[in-house]
Amino acid sequence: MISINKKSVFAGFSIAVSFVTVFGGGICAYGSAAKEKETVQVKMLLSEAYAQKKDYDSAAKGYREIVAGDPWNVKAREGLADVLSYGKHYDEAIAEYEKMLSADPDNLVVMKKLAAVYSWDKQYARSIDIYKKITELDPKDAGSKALLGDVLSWAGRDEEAIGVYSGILEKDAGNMKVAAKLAAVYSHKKEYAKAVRLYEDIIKSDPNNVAAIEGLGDVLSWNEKYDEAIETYSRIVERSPDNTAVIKKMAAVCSWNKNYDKAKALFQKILVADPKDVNALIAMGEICLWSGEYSAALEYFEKARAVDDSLKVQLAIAETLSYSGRYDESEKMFRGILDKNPSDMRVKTAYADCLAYNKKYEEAERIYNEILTAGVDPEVKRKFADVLSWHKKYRESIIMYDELIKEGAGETVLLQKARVLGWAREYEKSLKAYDEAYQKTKDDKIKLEMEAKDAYWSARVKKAISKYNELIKRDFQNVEAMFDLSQVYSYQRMWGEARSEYEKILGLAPAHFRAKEGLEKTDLISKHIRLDSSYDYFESDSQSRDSDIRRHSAVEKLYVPINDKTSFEAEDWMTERMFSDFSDVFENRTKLRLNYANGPDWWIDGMYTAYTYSKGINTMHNFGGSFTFRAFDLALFRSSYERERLENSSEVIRGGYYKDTFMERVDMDLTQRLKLGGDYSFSSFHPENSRNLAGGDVLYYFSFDPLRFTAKYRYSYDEYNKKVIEYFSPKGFTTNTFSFNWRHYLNKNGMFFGANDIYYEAGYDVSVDSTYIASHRFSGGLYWDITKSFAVALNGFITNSSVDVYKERRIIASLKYYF
Amino acid sequence: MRAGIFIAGLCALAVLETGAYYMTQGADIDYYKGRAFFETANYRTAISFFEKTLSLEPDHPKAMRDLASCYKWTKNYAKAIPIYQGLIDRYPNDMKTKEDLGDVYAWSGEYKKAAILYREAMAGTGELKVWFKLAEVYFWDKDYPLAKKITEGMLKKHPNWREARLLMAKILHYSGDADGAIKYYQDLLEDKKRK
Repeated sequence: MISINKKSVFAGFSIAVSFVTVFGGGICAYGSAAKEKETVQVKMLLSEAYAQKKDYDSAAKGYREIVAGDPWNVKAREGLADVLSYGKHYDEAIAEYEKMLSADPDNLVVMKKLAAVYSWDKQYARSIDIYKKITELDPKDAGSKALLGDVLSWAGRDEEAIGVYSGILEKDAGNMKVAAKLAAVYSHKKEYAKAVRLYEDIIKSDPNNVAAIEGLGDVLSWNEKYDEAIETYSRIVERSPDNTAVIKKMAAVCSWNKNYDKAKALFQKILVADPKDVNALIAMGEICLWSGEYSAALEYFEKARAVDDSLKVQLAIAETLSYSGRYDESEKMFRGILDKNPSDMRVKTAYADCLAYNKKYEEAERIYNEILTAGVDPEVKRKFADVLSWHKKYRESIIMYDELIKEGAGETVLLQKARVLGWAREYEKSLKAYDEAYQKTKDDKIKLEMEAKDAYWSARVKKAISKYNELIKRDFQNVEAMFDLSQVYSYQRMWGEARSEYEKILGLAPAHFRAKEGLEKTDLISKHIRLDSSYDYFESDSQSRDSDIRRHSAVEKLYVPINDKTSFEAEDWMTERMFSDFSDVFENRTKLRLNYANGPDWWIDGMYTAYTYSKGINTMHNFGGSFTFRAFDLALFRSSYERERLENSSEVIRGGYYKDTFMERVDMDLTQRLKLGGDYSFSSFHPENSRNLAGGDVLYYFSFDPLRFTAKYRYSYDEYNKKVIEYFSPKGFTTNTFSFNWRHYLNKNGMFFGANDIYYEAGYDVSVDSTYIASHRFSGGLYWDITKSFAVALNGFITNSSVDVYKERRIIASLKYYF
Repeated sequence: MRAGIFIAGLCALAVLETGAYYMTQGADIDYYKGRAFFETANYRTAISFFEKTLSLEPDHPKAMRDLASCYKWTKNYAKAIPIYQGLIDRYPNDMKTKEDLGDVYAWSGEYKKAAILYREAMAGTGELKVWFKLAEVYFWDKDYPLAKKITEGMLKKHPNWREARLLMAKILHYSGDADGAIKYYQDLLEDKKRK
């Protein structure tokens, strides 16, 4: 029998209580620990979720809470450092990683993260040191070696990066990722051939390595091998037609290669897949802008704006409005953008550009000046210089270009300086500037433009046409060349060609007002009937030289273009003649002329004139024609025949005197300033007489338009077969004439074909003949294109000779109107 | 003397009985020995006993199941699967074995096969645990919409089921709905504070 005493009972109870306490407490503690563990897990997950939604601050807060509760929670500490680095709190992240490393100095994972954060913080030297340590600790870690190479290349230590990558490739030739990185460094160093070779090797070993094919395409495009780049990209697109990233690159290369149609087709493809792809919409807009399709460009930019109303898109719209000549809308939009971004220099510059295109030069110059006062920007300075040149402030413009050149400006400025000097008609300086630009850049297009300009200014018309066409073929957006060519065509009356050139310019630059005006004038001349109506008074009086002319004429001349090469003219002169020895005579002269121009090579015309008189004077029928051709692109030869009446006195008119004149004349443009001319004519007179006249002249331009000053000397020798009393018919009669002419253009918009000209001129001629009679002629004139289709002019001269041998007066008032 | 003969007889009988027992019940003996090791997580030793059992009685269902479980816990899935599959072929209504085989497939990454088995097991038993496993296996298989749908079903019936809420948070988290996940995580943490 077992005896139970109190002591035993107490002991048993104590044991039981202890057991329950310890074991139960243990269970409770276990349960509590499990719950705490779960809480930490949820907190970790919560922080991860915050990190996932890039709310790194909240994530960091969560991790900090965990770390505060458990400083040894390495995962939480690592998570904290990670999110601090993602949140770009690099200093704090670095501090956390450093703490972890101080506890565990050889923790490669943390070392790698720390190295990465140093590299993101652009502390490349520190990052490089850590990566080097990692690769020392684990020499087989090719990944870290590759990262070391990356950081070295970011730090600009390309040679070391190449060494690291090459080292990896020596041990693992098949490491295509590293080969691609090495290729990228080579392409960064512009060692494109090496990069291409590497990429080709990668592709050879792995023809499906899309990244390598893409890299090869990139390198080829940077090396301006656009066709090859496009071909390379197309290999990817053929396999993956939905690879929009590569399609975008391909499209961009097509647009750099000026293959706008293909570029548009590719961007269109992207837009079919995603009509709201802002970048593709902007790119499409830009391509349309570059190819002059402004409405389409606007449409794309507006679509882009509907998706992303960013400053970039707003500026693109305002600029497109400006390029398309919708200045008011553009200015309004710019003002709106400026209100919101008053200190944005990019917006200010674009606004100034718009004002300049709208010819508000003063305002544009003021804004450019403001921008440049705030800080030097070579691009703005260049634009400022451009606008000064458009404002015809050539001297200031050239000074600014010279400054830019001194500051190291490139080809654009060198070329523009040469062009502006040309606009300022400083031809020699311009050619010198072209040569300097060519010597510095060795760009054949500059040389070609220089040769074309030289030919144009020296009136080597055919050479100029050929050079400009060659240049435009190579640089199809060279508006400067196109405009010069349009001027050559216009002055050569090659209307079809001129029109086509103007249209090309306007396609590229619709706001090109000179081309617009040139085209308008070309169309007026080549397609519209013109009436020239004038009053002409002429008086010539010489007792000793048988001259007795005083007439008033009302002249109507109708010019009818038939096509671009052929035109017809009809003239009617109603003249009242007053003679000292005969009563007043009324005369009607009707002249018909047909012209055919095959510029710049040859021109031909034929004419018929009928004279009818009052007072029973017989009608006279005259006719003639001429043929002009250009020889060796140096001179114009003109051969003409014309039956002309004599009109020096009543006697020759009443007697129906006339002469048949055969004439040859040559005009040579020796240089831009020096012109030579020579002529010979033989006239057979009725009643019988004949005349040989030979002459030569030289003309020199001291200055060019708009302040043209010329001097001319002419020598002529005149020999009649016999002296008659009816008209002045000397033998061995020579004349030396010196002429000086001043013409000042007051044009608002510059001098070019199609401009509304307004000028005055004054001339003085002094002649001394073989009889030592000197004559002085004073001439003057005014001309004004009031509109494109309406002009007025007034010209006249007075000639007096020594000892009153002869005197002449003439005044012509005319107006010109295009229907 | 008689007493001695009686005792000797008893001893002989005991020896005979013992011999007979070992000769006829060897399989069970080894099974229970194995079972003892199995329960102390000494799977390698347990396996040797279960294998002995099965060498004596190849159709010993308990030994088969426990052997498969040993393989499962020692991550020797390739050996576990045919044993479980054999059991299921023999006992098609054994939902526990289906669940076990589902576990093996789930742990070895064959989520789709696991899901089929869990679905069958759940249809048979309606057990919450299997329901949860099914949702979990879809989550691991990154079939987040299905995992979410199943978890939503669980939460509809048991809105306060903490594990299911955590699973739902993870599903939302990994399917990219960070905001939704954060809400669940915060709820879980708040819940904890309230308690």
